[in-house]
Amino acid sequence: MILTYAIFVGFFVGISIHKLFGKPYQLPKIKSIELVFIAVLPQIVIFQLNFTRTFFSDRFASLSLIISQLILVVFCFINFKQPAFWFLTAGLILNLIVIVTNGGFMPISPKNVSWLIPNITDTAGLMGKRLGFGKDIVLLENQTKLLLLSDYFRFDFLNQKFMYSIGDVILAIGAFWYMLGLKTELLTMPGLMEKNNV
Amino acid sequence: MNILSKLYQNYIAQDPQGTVRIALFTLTIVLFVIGAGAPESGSGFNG
Repeated sequence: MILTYAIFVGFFVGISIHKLFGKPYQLPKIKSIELVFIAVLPQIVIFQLNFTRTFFSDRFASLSLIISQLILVVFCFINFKQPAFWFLTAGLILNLIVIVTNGGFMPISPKNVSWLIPNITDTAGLMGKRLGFGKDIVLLENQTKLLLLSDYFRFDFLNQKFMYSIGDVILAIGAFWYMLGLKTELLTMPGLMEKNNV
Repeated sequence: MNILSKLYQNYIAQDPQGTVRIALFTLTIVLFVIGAGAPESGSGFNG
């Protein structure tokens, strides 16, 4: 949710800035967008869609998540010239590191599971298991490697509750920055258009 | 409806190619953050 907010806010702030300067709103070109579709569509089938996500084992899901995020790392490096992608790459790699070091899923502590889903009274039965069909695994804080990079932070605002990681925050900054479309402003500076091959 | 019509006339109709480009790149970023991010809202839990 934090990431969706970043995109929407970035979009509207970007439009406003461009309007203020009398320029058309444009987004910087992204290369190899097919990699994103190849990487993320399987994730949607495995983690998001109610009628498909039950088909996959936890082992398959974790392996798919890691492969998918590795493809996204390649995509990031292809677009690394853009400042927004510095943040997107950093956030992605931080999430990927904590996922890989904790067995293929993002760790979440039992107390945070209870806070997030109050109708779960007995979290002991969830220990070491995947939280439903999502990307998280329930682990005690002292069993979690790189705890501060896990889903450790709470968001609770306007009846929206979720747990997020430092990587998610950095991703949100990158998404917000990209949606501002500020590269357009730079490209309109004389000399830079030719240099950037636009 | 009026707002949508205004939006269409002011932006999309004037630059359909640019609008498609914005839509495509926005969709790419949306998909990217879905794939790269891992915020947990409990929606994956079915009981």
